[in-house]
Amino acid sequence: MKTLLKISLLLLMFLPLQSEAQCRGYAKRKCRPNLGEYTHDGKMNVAQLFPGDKAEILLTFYKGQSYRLLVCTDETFEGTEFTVYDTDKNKVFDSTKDGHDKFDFKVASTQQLVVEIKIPQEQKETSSEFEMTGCVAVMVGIK
Amino acid sequence: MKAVKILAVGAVAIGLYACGGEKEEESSSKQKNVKKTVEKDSSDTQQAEVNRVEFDELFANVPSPFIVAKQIESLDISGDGQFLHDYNKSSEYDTEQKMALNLGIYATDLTYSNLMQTGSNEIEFLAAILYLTDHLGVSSVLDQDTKLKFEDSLGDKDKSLQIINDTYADLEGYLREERRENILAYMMAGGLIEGLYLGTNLADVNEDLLQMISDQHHGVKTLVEIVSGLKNVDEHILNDLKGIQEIYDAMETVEPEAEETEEEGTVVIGAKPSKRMSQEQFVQLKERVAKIRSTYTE
Repeated sequence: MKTLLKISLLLLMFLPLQSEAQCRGYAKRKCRPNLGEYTHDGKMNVAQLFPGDKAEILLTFYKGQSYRLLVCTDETFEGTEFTVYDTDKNKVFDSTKDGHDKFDFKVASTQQLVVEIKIPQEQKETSSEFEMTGCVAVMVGIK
Repeated sequence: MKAVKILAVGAVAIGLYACGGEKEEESSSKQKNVKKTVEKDSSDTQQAEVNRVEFDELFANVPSPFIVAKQIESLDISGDGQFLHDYNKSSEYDTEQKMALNLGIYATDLTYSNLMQTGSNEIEFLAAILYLTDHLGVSSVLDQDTKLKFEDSLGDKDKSLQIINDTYADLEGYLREERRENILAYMMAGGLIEGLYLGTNLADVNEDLLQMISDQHHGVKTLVEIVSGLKNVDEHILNDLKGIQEIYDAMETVEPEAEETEEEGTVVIGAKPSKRMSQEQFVQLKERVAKIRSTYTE
């Protein structure tokens, strides 16, 4: 019983580590190619989300650089949307209107921007709750 | 029996999480680097509850060595290896703090050397990094295979930069997952100090340099916040960073100039009020950074 308990606890501890490392691997394999001629900036922002989740992240962008911002989800999710706001809450990009999963831009001065990601509630049917979790990666490329 | 109860509670907690039943959850067992809250969706007329997930913004806003090196590159200066740290010293550091600080310093030097093609011995910098990651117990991220891949990639700058950036991102991710925040924070501190050291020494003082160094205030502020929150923090490192932040806090705020909205077909996001360092503050920062760096590398 004690052995079983130890194994179970170890599995519980190991599961999340494996998942996040997998998300990073997924982002490198599947998302990074979409950075094209931009070089990945060396920061990996990944999370596991459920349908209906909203996620946001504040990122710093520096004057003088050309950026590609990429929001990428694994095949679990369909119709992921993302919006970019400046710190005064002005919308500067909306993937539903601009029709892209990436945003190429520069900043006139160094500043922070908020990236908001929305996973639609309605997703294709899967056999279990756990299959409904998916990786989301926010990647930045610079050139 | 008590242990069985703990296991049961753990399983139920994960089950609740999977069903989205948690009202608020910080640093959950499932996602260590995100914070989850539940809020009403204002765009939904039914006012349905949505989970709001926040990525780990603190670590995301300390620049990587590549971000720092790209800014130095934008100063339009030629690559110069004279200010880089001595890669032969990696084996002289015998505390975790010193190892982590110098790991960040060597990572910045390697990235800068590669990007700016300084002609420095990049393999030796990588060997110094390997030595430190091995002695910090994070060799699973960076091993001899990485070194071989890097050696093969030399001559193809894009490929070698990709290996450097991937490895750095993996190292950050691994240290976060393993809850080794102290090592991660000190590594970032070493990288930030080295970036400021190179930036303040490589170019003559001009408007672009002043602005580039001033713009590091976001990273400095965030790093002070991270280090302040560490358990068993090294007070010397914290005070060093606070000393740098003091100079940044004293900078004046400058209103933005006329805006451009598009440049060669690329969207340009409008300027915001920004911080600006005076020449006196620059000299003060340069001296302070050099002093701190010498204590980290000695």
